[in-house]
Amino acid sequence: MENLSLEAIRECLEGAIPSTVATCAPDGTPNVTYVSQVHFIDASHVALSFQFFNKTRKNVLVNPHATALIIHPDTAQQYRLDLEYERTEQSGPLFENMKAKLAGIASHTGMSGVFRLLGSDIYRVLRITAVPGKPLPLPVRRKNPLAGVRACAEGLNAATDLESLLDLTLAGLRSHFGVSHAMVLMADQAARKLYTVASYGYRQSGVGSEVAFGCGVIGVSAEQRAPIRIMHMAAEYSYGQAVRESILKAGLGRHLETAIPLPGIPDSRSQLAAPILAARQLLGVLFVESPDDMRFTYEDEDALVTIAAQLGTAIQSIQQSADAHDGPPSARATKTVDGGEPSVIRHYPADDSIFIDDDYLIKGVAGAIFLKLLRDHATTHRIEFSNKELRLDPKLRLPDVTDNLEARLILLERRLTERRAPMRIEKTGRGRFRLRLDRPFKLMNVAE
Amino acid sequence: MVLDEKWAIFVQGGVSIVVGSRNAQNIPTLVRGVGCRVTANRKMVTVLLGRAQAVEVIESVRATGTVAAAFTWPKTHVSIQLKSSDAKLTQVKPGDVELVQRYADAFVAGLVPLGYAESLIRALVWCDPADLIGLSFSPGEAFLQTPGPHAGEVLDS
Repeated sequence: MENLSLEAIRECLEGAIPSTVATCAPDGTPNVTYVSQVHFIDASHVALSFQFFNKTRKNVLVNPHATALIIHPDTAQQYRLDLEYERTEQSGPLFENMKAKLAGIASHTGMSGVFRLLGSDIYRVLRITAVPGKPLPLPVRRKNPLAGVRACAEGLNAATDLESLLDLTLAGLRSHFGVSHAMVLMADQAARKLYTVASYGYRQSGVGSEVAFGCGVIGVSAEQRAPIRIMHMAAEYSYGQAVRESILKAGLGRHLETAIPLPGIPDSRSQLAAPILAARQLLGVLFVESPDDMRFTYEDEDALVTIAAQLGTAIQSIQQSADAHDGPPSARATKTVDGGEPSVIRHYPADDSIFIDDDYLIKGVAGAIFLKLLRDHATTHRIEFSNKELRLDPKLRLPDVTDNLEARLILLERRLTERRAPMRIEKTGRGRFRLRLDRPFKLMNVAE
Repeated sequence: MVLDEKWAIFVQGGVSIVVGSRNAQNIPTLVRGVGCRVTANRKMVTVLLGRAQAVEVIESVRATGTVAAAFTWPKTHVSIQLKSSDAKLTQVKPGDVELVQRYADAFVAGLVPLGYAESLIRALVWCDPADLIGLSFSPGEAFLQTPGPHAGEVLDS
């Protein structure tokens, strides 16, 4: 039983069976207590949740030696970890991850309002010893997640554009990991928020819904650029709360009307969010959830982080190739629509929100793009456009780096389809698309 | 100190038992207990341990006589900790094997309704009856450890 590695037994740190820890005061008095979380950091470090100024905390600040007793949730095999206290973190990815997890544990165990994370106490693991006993046999794993990651990665190779890339990612999660509910959100760095571009498993797609950085599991994952995984859902990390907070942060007024609800399952119990990163840029968040407690394991977290990394690289390479091969200036095809009651398009310049016949469509950059297309059409009857001209249009205020134009167009296209709008945008080739009008329209600028 | 009657009953019920000690270098260690008995005068507590599992605790108790024993009722998190510096290793008594069996049954009965599999809990508190040893001490201090604002408060005898 020598040479045990912490990675090999990290299931013990999922919290299914609580861990205990022994410390010793400078006067030699030992102390034993339960700890809410022993969090796996890496092969030689764990973090213990620091929630109260208790004896454990006082002891390790003076005598750094501690011993934890952890239990395997499937076999009841016990292990002793000889630990040495190193330091405490009170902010950052590790802290936020443990805080989210603790909120879930508190809500699951009826300790909401009692458990509050004050710090993540980081310990070096000096030795791992298996305690003799009569453990149960280890159950055979249902699936090897590495094979699932491989299949997902291979699947992404078939993508030709951002839209197919996102859809293939979600399809891979469904078929190779049995994930029932998932979404991809893209980051709007300037506005410090994320917007949903693709999802599956929900009654409403939620495309266009927004989450502010720092709100809920998704927002915290974006802000910290770190995966956040919770085994039991807590109210303060739920969607409803996240959406309310987003609205409050944004101010009131028309925001309630223009808030597309995040899809989400009402009885979500397990959630996992992984940042989509490329070249140190946060591109978005890949998110999965389940109505079952403890659905996502450390291995699922490894898998999702790896798939999100793959997705990030793929998004970046698709963007670069789109820049290099953007279509030529569009053919000056024109078309007019005759007959039919014109739909009234209201535009609020304050946030570029768009309403079609009193029905909210979209706001922000996607709203501004839509307005540009309609205005151009109104003056020239053009129906064909290129990504390049949008990218060069100063009025659209696209951020320079990773402008996410493709993502905005997917968002706009999907919202138009979902709202059954009398106009659509249709891709006609690489970097080109067409505006399809089923009815005439009348533009109204609503000044506030 | 004399253990309050209520707590004497508590530590002898189906609670989770974890016993800690430390060696001469102030390095702590711990092990699960598999049963507990309290003398009629409630001045002496004996936690039963499996020798193979408790090797380090046994060495530490021999070297320093220190002990900290936490007793926790899983469903409510109600928890107390007893401390002493006069801990000694003691022989098992007639009836201890049955006591350990009764303890396992009571511990299982408390945890199965919380969703734990009986086989898992039985494996957790499994101990070879031939390997039992007692760890006896007179509690010098008792603390309430239930998480919350009163955690760490001293229990009066």
